[in-house]
Amino acid sequence: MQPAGRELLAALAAVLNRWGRWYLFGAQAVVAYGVPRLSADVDVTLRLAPDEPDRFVGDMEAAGFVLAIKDPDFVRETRVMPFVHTATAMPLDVVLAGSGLEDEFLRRAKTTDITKTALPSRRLGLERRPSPAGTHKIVQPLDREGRTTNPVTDTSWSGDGRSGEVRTEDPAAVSPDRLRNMDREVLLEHLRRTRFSSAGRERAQADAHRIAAFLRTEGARRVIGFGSVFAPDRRFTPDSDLDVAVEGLPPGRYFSALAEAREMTAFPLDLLSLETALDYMRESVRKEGVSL
Amino acid sequence: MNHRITTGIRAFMARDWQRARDFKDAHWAERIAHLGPLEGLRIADRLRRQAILENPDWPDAQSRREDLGSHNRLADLFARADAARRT
Repeated sequence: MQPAGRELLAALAAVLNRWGRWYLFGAQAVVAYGVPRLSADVDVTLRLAPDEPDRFVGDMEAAGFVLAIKDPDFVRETRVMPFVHTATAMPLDVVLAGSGLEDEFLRRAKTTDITKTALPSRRLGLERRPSPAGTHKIVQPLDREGRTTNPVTDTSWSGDGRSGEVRTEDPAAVSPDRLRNMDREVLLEHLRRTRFSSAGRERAQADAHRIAAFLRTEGARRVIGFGSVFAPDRRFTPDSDLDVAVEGLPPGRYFSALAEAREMTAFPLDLLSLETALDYMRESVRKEGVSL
Repeated sequence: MNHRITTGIRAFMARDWQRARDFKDAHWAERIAHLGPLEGLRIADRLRRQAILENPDWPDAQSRREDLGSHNRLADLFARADAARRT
């Protein structure tokens, strides 16, 4: 599931880009700059050109935004248009730029691509080497969440990771021992290609084992699963987090390992470094953790 | 008994909460810096979902009115600042 803010901004940008210069401000802008904040709505300022608010509202409605105030005087007097994005139920306030100061802000606004997440091979210094001989490159359709559509018939890497053997099998069926014995690059290739498709606690646990195997290649001494995925008495949904604690991961490898590991599961992954975890988190891992 | 409770409350209050806040701020800032703005939106989305889970009516009509009012006040301030800049 993509974040509501991202879904709203993607739909909004398509309209605003036709209507003039604009910028995002308020909590969502602060979030994009690195400070997580709870926010009920999205705020943008738009220099409307041409200045035809009625036609603009029609364009917005066609894109899934409903004007939340029906009094035409309100917009005329305040120059604020309160919309609601129907797909996410998130409020959106479009402030029509009125002063020269806002033109100055428009000039200084920086364009940021919020639709992509960092690719570890490009952004985090993990160079992607050519695939080992014998691996079978496949291109498969992904659904909107980036999940493979038919993993059971995927032609995935299997065998001992060195022989080049390719055959069809359920990727989750590869045993932890076999994963441990794979070369690192082969393992990475295998894990990327065998992302899971269906939601389920067992599948999440299988993902956790695969991620643990990867983390060991990064230097981790101990990897522990905890949280609802590993607690049968707790509620588990497709949106549940996959909580993994790790010990011994070199500090400089945390974020690159996290980025790689997130590529290996469609569940939201929380990777807790035990060395820097707060006491109550360490206690929680100690009490309910499952060694991976 | 009361003394023990008071001591416990004082000890709780005396903990280095600022350090915990700083640690969290630094952690999230670094995470978003490395993983990109989309990660920030993901985190904000989870906060929002939690808020709606606890209060399905959030944000209510009153807080929306206050929010729109603050936009109006800000627009007035910008206009005044812009006028002052030109004089």
